[in-house]
Amino acid sequence: MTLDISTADRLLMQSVARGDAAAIGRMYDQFGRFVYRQAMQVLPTRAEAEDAVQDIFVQLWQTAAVYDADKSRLISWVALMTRRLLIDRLRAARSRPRLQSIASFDVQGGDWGPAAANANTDDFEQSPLRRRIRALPASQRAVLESVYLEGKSIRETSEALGIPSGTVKSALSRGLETMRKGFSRESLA
Amino acid sequence: MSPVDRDELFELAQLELLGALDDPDLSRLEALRRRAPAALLAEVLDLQAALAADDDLLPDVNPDAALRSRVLAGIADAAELRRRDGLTPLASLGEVPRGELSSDRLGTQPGSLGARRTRFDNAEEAVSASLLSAARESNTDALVARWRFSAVFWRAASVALGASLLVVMLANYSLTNRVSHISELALGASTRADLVQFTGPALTQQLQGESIIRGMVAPSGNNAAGMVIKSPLAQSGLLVAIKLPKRSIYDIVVRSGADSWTIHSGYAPTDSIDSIALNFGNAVLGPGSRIEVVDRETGAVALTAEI
Repeated sequence: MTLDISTADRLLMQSVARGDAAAIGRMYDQFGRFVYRQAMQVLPTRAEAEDAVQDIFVQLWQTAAVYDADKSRLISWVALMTRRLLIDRLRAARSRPRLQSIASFDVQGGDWGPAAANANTDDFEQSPLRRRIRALPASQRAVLESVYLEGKSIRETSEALGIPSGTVKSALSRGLETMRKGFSRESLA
Repeated sequence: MSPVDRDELFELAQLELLGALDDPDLSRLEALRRRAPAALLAEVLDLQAALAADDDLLPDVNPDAALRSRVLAGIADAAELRRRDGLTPLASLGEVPRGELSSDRLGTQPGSLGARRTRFDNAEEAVSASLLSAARESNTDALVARWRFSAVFWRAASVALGASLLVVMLANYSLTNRVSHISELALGASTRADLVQFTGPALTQQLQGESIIRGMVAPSGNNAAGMVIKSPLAQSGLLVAIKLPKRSIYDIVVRSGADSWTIHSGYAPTDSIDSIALNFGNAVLGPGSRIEVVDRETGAVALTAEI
């Protein structure tokens, strides 16, 4: 019997909430890399990303009982929890993610270390994600970097860029859509 | 009732996933969701899931294989503390700047990582043992020894000693006494002298100085109460919540003038008396500053206090 996604999500999180160790392991297997990649997107070092991943999974375990499969898919729930905790970390540390991180993923073949941390600007400029962002209109590019890579809120971005929050929202939505379409076209080519 | 603006709903749903929405937009999104027909809501769920799962928007990296064991060990530690103390969720202590973390923190130093790897060769077993064992050890030395190796403990250790001692002392009171005394402190005009009297002379010394102690009230009409303590020495403190509705998730926010700082996101109380360590981070406290426990879903303020 194949469970639909919603039922499978609900059953998994119910098991996690009950303290089923195997279910907790499955939760990590299902989302561990996903959470780690999000952490590496915005945090400056691998050690910090790993710390964050541990905290995020503890939080997921603690809040598993309130997960509502009717309100969100599990992957969306995990993504949202992850983003919020990462943004909290960024704000608490007053740190900015290094944009070089994007380039480092490419030049290091997925590895991360001191060399990757020192990836030069040329590599950064040539990374696929950066190329997509750079190809966006200037207004969308600035907004996307602020929200998506730096973890700022709409209001913070609006204040920082001196543009209305409505403009930030629409520019962000259009930018994301453009990037996703761009990736899709590139992958098909 | 006017029809739901589909474009606005989709736009806000996307931005929600990025964690980019401020409180007014979150409230707006919830309002749109409540009015949206089921078919449209299903589309929103699919949209968010597709965006979250979009492989091309994330870096192509893989976590170290040891991270799995470390994560499971972290959950095991949190579960163990929860079972022993009934002071959940100590596992979800506030964010701690990296510089304040102990060098023994799990996995951040080679020595500690090695020790933990040995202990958790079979991570599922470790988690299972911690989560499912009903046996409680009364040996204080054993407890202390385990805590010394606990990542969660070391995070707790970064909280001001006074606040930590309060947690331990609160744990030793019966539930009835705690409800009674903390309620008095929280609902009355709490002062440092009140707290010292309540907690006894052992805490007196630790609380000397300018500790901020405030009772928290529930403006939204629930029966919750609470107390917040801020260390005079650091941007750390403790929040004790009483009868905060458990089925909600809360953000803890400091507001000062037009500025606000979410100092903890995703607080999920599980006990009638619940405590959470706080790190005020970059929050700037001044005249008129407030701390609020905000229901994430409804945006309602569940507890508030001037601080």
